[in-house]
Amino acid sequence: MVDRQSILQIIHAVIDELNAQWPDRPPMTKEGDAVLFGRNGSLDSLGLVHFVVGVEQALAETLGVNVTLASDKAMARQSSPFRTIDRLADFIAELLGE
Amino acid sequence: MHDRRVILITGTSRGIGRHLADHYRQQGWAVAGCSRKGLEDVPEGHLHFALDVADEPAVKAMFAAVRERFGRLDALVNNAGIASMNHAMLTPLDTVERVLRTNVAGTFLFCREAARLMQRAGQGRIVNFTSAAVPWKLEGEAIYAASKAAVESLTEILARELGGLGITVNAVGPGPIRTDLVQGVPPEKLDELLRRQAIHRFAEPADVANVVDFFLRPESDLVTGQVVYLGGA
Repeated sequence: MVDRQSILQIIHAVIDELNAQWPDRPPMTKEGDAVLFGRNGSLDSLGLVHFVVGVEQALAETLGVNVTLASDKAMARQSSPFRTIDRLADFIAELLGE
Repeated sequence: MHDRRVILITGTSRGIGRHLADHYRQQGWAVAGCSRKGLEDVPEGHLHFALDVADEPAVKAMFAAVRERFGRLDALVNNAGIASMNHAMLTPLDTVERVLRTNVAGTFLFCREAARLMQRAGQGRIVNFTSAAVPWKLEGEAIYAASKAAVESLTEILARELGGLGITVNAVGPGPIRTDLVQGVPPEKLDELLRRQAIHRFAEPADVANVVDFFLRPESDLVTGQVVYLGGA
């Protein structure tokens, strides 16, 4: 069972990587309630694609688990799992627990 | 990270795929290939996987192995494909699903996974396989031509989606070529097809490799979203 803290560490590592790749953009922050996507979000749609791909790859490389985050199930939720870092961490923990 | 350029080619057990694998290995590339059945004589340095190109978990596992072994992917050639020749009124749905699954879903899966691996390097080359059956609108090849038309659309749209990542996406479309795909086609039908071309001869695997070479050249980094038909289809 993967604990939530490990998931957050992976998300934070991806944020560090993207901030380094995008020096001209305002840096993404790591607070749990930091808005990722949507109104006042730090990512545009293409940025979200990069971020989600980065998190999926990091989960595969670090934990050896293959998950699809941008699934129909995720998109169908009324409360988007990509809204904040906390929601994303909860969503990943839920997927890994299934 | 591996010091040689790495190319992944699908359908490398025979025909054009096998020729391309040999061609790029001779040019010093590290080659990863796949086919439904395993290879009996896997060349040294060649990474081979036995899989169905539309089997998502297997394809993901292959890319994970490529990433682990080489740490990079410079080029993808989506050569694997199947054909079906039959009148539309006699074509079973199973055949439709099988052709679309291999030719469209398989090509898409490999493009997606390759782009994920290539994006970190900010460069990459993807070459898909279409067919002269698309512009020729061949009777008896409705499903095969439709699957290749879908591959052309994929190529053109992925070129735009991935262009910003330094990844080019192009397609090559051979006319008649002596491979297993045309084994069941009568000689007179093949002659008729050759007469449609601007140059009336069969394509050889080397003709295909020549176009792929062009797409893979570092100088071709502004060439994307293009379809090249051999023989002047």
